[in-house]
Amino acid sequence: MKVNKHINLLWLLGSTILCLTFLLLIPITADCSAEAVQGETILEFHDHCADSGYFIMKDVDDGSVIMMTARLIHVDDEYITGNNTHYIVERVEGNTAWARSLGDIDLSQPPDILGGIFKSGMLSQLTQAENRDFTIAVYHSHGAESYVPSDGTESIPEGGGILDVGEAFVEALEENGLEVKHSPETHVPHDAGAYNRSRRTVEELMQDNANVFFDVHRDAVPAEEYKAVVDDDQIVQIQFVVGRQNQNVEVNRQFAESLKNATDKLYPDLIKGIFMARGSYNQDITPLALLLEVGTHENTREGAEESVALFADAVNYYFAGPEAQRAQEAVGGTALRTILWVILIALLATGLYLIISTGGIEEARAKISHFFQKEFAEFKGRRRGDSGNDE
Amino acid sequence: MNTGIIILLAVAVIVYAGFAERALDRLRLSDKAALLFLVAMLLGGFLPDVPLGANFGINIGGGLIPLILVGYLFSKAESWEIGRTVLAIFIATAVAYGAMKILPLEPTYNLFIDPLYLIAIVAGLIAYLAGRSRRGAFIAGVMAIILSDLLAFVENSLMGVTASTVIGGAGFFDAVVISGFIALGLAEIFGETAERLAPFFGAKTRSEEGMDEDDKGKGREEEGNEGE
Repeated sequence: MKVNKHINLLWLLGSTILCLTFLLLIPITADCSAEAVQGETILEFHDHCADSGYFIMKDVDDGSVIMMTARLIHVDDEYITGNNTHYIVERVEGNTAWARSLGDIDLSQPPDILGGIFKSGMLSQLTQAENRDFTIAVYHSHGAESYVPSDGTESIPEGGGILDVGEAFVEALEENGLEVKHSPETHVPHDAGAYNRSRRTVEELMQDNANVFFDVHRDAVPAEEYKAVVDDDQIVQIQFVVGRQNQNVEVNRQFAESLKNATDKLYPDLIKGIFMARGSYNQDITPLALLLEVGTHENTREGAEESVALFADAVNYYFAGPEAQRAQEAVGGTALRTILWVILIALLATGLYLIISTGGIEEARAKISHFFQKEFAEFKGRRRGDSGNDE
Repeated sequence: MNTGIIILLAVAVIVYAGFAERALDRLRLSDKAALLFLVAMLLGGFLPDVPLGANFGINIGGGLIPLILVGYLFSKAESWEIGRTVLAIFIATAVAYGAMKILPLEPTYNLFIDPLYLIAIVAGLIAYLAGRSRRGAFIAGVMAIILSDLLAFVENSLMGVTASTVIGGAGFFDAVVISGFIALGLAEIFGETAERLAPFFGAKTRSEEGMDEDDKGKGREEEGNEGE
């Protein structure tokens, strides 16, 4: 028995080392194929790529810069520019992502996904589009983020300038007559657990009847990247981020595209683009959720506040404007398709689990058959007396 | 449809249909008790949080009910299993908390999966490998996230930063619940797969070796007290 104890101890030690190795030393192969970063560990890579700079997306055909972001870009990430040109990333070399244009897309024509089959009460229920029963939630997963020119630093753990930008957004939304909830939680410490903590804020806001969520951030690239001129005034732009690793991604994307379309009508160039990036950003919790990057740490906080006030007009236009019903129906159609996919995947996962746990397809089939026979019999009231003996 | 609800539905269907008989036996839970806990986690998530101090509280569905379940599973564990599970909790917590510090801030830096699931998978993997039991995996998966939250709370307090901490605050959507079920799922899949594959490699199965921690106590109860 002592041998067993030693084996278990070694097993435990080995597993721990394995997991730590996995986290610390696994080489970054995540699409960073350039010599400069090949073979780096997470720590080295993070130092190299994130702390010392940012990432640039370039057109693979002409080499022109499409956008810059502090978020790591991966192959298959997508980007829709302010002019609605759709790009997909083909390869990443160091800090440069090479993307191919898939052409321009017309955001004013949301796809009629289910051919009108479900365009009835069900869709309205999904999006609550008919009665304008929307409550907007504004929160900040990284509440320490700040704007250097105004706040003096890029991060304030007690509460960064981003909270003020959120407050300006909330005030403007309320002036438009929308119902809004704002969480001033900072979700510090500023680490990889921040989105786990902000998940709780989202749930609290949902209990408060919020059904549209904006996670307000700022980017960390040069200020010029987020500057544009609207009506002769220089403004700070806003970028939407949609998490690709969540089951609501199609709905989130549809929401982002239709909201951009609405904003473009009021304030062209206010929206910098839509970045479909790796991650979930808690957008798996609810379909009508977006992450906003309001300028960068090098823009002024006041500029960011002015931009979110303009964006608030667009949000109101989207949820209460003349085309609100149509845009939201498209979102609802996508939501329904997502639910069907999720049910299918859940059924497949259950089947797989059953095969593993019973030891084979035949055994799994027998178990399912037994279940349905039992349930059917009980439904018809034939085997009431037997129900206690089934197992 | 969110991840928490998907997991809830899948687990509820599996339990209700009686497909999780063996797993529940190993957890020493009846079908009814398992469904009761699931419903309690779901409904408890919608109840107000229980305050435990300034800027500190616990959610009923996402924190309190999982803790009660952990307590129940501990009460059913053998004495030799408790020590190993406690060790697994500490290691899983250290790795989960360390991962939050080591992994880059933004989910875009993740290798293949969102940190929410990566941390849960790592915690579950360590818990299962350490204890090689379903009970141990679930306990350590849940406790690793709860204790990481407590460490974050302590970190903020030491830095003099005011920030709210609600254990399991997102109810059924919370990392606590997701981590517990992912750990349990991993234990079930790894455990069952290893058991099925063992004969093909000429190895004895763990139960043949008397090493299946989940079944060991049960076997003792049934067959009389046989020492390790």
